[in-house]
Parts: sequence; structure tokens; C-alpha cells
Amino acid sequence: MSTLISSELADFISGPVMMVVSTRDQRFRATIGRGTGALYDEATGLIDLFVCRAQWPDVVENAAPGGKIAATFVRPTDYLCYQIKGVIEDITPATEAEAARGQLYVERMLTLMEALEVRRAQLSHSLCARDLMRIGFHPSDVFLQSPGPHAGERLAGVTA
Amino acid sequence: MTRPVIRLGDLRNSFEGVIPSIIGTIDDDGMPNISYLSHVYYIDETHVALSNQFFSKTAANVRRLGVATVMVVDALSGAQHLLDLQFEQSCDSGEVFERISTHLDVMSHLRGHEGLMKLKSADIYRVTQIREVLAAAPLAPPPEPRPHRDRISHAARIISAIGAEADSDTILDAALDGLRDEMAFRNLMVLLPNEDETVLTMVASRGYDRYGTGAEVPVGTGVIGMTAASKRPVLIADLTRARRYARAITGDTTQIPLPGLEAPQCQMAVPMMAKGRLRGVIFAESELSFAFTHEDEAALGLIANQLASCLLLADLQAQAVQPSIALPPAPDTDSRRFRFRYFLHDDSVFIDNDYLIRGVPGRLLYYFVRKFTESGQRDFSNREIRRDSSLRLPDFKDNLETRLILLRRRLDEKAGPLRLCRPERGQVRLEFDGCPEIEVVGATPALP
Repeated sequence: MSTLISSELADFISGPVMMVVSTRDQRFRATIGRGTGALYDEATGLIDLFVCRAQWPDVVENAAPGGKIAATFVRPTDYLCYQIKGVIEDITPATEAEAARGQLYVERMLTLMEALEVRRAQLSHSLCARDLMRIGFHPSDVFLQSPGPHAGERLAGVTA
Repeated sequence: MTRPVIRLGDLRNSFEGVIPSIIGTIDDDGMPNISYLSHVYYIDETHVALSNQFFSKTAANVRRLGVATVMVVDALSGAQHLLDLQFEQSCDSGEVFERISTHLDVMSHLRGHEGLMKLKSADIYRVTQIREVLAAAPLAPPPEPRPHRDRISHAARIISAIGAEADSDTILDAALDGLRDEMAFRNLMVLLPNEDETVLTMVASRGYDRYGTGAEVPVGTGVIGMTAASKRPVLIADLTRARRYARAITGDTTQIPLPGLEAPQCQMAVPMMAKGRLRGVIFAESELSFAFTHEDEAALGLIANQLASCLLLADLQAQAVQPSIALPPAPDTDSRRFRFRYFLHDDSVFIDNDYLIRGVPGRLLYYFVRKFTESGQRDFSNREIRRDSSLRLPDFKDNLETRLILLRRRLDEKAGPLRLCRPERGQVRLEFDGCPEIEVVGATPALP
């Protein structure tokens, strides 16, 4: 297991957490979109993050290999949140199995959020399992992002 | 088909912090950084303010490039919009800063995070572009559009109705009835500050199973108390995930419970200002999320200030009235006796063993009852009350009328052996069912 992505963190990002992803556009502005599930592959050291291309075209169009990417993963029950930054390795349409995984992610999040009194209508435009793209990236830095005085604290990184 | 132009004002439901907003920036190395934002604040049609609390990386990136991208989410429909922002300035004081700071303090309190969301500065941005995020597969149908409500016309009618009244009692009723009937605010109350502005006392309400006249809220506590402390309106559009508003219910037998909804979802309080001073707070609540809008808040602000001014004016006019007293029949002193206990340390009054009221209204009532037992006097003019130094009224002379209203309504609600009536403007009359036996607790009062 990578020292950057611990087994606990790997479990965390592949679990029922809300995800936000950002790339950089030609104007040097941040794009913003939402993720539909993620997982860490210990063998390749890649994080695979799934994004709906139809809904988040700016994020996907600017997710080219070699480009930089940041993603946050927040647990809605206690707001525990990590931001992971890295460099994009590749981007491909989701396979059938990956699309099914994305659909499962949406269903799990709906159940969890409805238990937290977040209405389905409020999530209507946030969770989408259609037209998924897989963005694989090499993580380079991990930050704690939970609200509070330690927000932004770097937990691990491959650069100084 | 051309899509309609999106105005910043159309996105107000996205700015309430119910669903967190997201800010994205780029650093020196071209690496994106994303962070959740507690609130985005609407300033005008081309500007927003962001609360700068923890996100130092975001602040550093904005300082370098001067731009940011923000995504906001409508908490009713789930619609998302992306805003391109150009940084303009940072402020750690002034109207915008204070407004945001007050709102954050209230939200911290409601969520049980006191002090955690303390504002460092408010950053003002120009909005250069607004883009709607088109949902690829919405999970729910869009909500029905809300009917248009002409709040300016409603406010104008209520303001006129308040202005048509001359007496403090009817002024208060005109305001509350107008808010209930014209604006359909079902649950509301008016509270007035005590002389040193540490406590607000409820003087009139609508829509609850009891009036609760005399209930107190400490200034600085909850939506009402924080509105009084900051002298700024507070609107909490959705309380679903917030800690419920802390009501004034304790084991203290001298506390009158504040009336309130069991499960409020939306609360709004606005200060009543006149002559540069806080004269009270109007509070409204609803069991529906987003029941009140920022247009409602603005309209209520107009009405609150009119109410404050008219109450002040009525008080000043009542001062000038020369009473023409026709002596009322003497009370039947052979009827039952009741115990009237007055506590000097806080001017509280108990009738038999029941708490009635405290503070200035308690002091006034003791004065009336004592005068009656000494001389048989039952009619008192505002002018006479103000001139009596034993009542220690000099710092809040312009509040006498409202103190008398509070006292009279509390006596009516209690339905005990004492009542106050108003034979004419600027005058009160004490009425009895029985004969008081006064007991002063604490020390010997100084007789005038």
C-alpha cells in the first residue's frame, strides 16, 4: 500500500462520500464538477475517479493526460474531508462494470443523504451515473479538508 | 431557443448555505485547489461576498491570480450554477462584513459550533459570468414555481394601517394583523428591549396556542437575541439540519416560556430601529423551509421601522396628554384578599404564589398598587409616572407606553385579581377583584 494513500484513505474514497473534482481550463481558471465514485488501485498507484461527461464537460475536456487535477472526498455524516491532488495518467469512457459501479454509488449516496434529511430534489442535479468517464490520476498530495482550524493541513505528499 | 439571461438575484436560494458552495482556484504550479464554502453572500446584481474563514490556500491563489470559480446549489430545486469571479477587495469591517459576521454567528449557534465559524474577512468579488449546469439525468422533477408576491404593495398597506393608529396598543395590533393577513406570516411576535438592552421581552404575538406575554430572550442568544445584538436582520431559510432554536425554557419559575413552533424550518427576525436606537425585534417563523424570502425580509424591515417610529411617537404624545379624570367607583375592599409580593432585587412581582412579571413593568405595577394602598389612587397619567423619581425612569422615558402595554397584556393573560385599563390616552387605571396585601422582599423601599 502506498504511503501516500493508506488503506484507510483508500477505503474512505471508495465509500459513500460526496466528491468534487477540478481541472484547469485554457484561461487558467479552475473547472468544477462532481464525481460519481472513485477507487484506488494499489497495483498501479492510480486513483480512478468517475465523472459524468454530459454534465461536467469543462472538467472532462480539460482532463488531459499530464494535466493536473484535484478532488475532495467528504463524508456527509461528520464532514470528514480530504483533498487529493495529482497528475492525470489517462481518461477513458467507463466500462460496463464501472458504469454499474457508478449507479451503485448514486443509490448508496441517495440512501445516506436522505437519512440525513437531504431531500432527493436537492441532490437531483448532483448525482449522475450517465455517460461516465474514468479519469485515472497519480496522487501527489493529500490534505485534510474538514471544517475547522486544521483545514488545508497537508497529510502526505511526494514533493517537499 | 435562446436561454434566458441568468441574474444573480435569481440565485438567492443558492446563497443560503443549506447545500455548501464550492470554490476552485489555481496555484503557481497550475494545480487546482477546491474547497467548500459555508456561504456565498449576494451583494448586488454584479457582486458577491465570500466568507474567508479557513481556506488559506484559496486566499493565496486568489491573491496571485485574482480569479476564482464558484459553484452554488439551489437548496429547493438542486439546480447548480457556476460563477466566474474576479476579486475586488477584502474587508474586515463595515456593513458587508458585519452582515456576514452576524449571519455566521447565528448559523454557528444553530449548528452547535459556537466560535468555529468566526469570520476573518469578507472578500468581495465581481461576477463576470454565470453558467447553469445542465443536469444530464435529474433525479427529481423541478419544483412548482412559487407564485409572485408583491411585497412592496403589502408593506405599503401595512405601513399605512400602522400610521393610521394613534395608540400604542392599536399600532402593535395593526402591525401584527397586517403581517398575518396581508403577508400570510402565520407565526410571529414583537419583542421589546429592557432599559439596558440585555433582555428582550415579548409584548405581542400571533399564531401560537398562547400569547406568552412577558417571555424573555437574552440579547445575543438565538435568532431573536442575535438580531437585537447586531441590529441587523437575520433570515435562516432552512433549519432542517440546524440545532433547534434555544427557547427560554428553564427550571426558573420566573421564566415565562416563549411561544414557538415545535419544528420550525424557517426563521426571520428584523430589528425595529428609530432615532438610531433599537426599539424592538419582529420575529416570524414557519414550518416550511424557504417560507420567507429576502423580499420578505426587506418588506419586514420597512414595517419594523415604521412600527418603531409610530410607537415612539405615540409614547411622546401620551406624555403631553393632560388627564381629565372622572373618579371611578372604589374597589370592594371587603372582597377576597390576595398577596402581592414585590422583590426589590429584580423588580419581580408575584401574585399569591404565581410569578407575574419583572423589570420595569414589575416596578410600575408595584408603584400603582402601593399608591392605591396609601391613598386610594387608581388613575395614573403617563406624565405623573414619568415625573416620579422613585420609578427611576430617566434613561428610557420613551419606552413607557410599551412597558404599560406589556404590563396590561400580561395582567389580562394571567386573568388574576389585578388589571390595568386605559380610560383615555396617556392614562391608566388600576382595577381589582379583591384587596392586595403588599409584601416587599429584599429591603425597605425608599418612599417618594
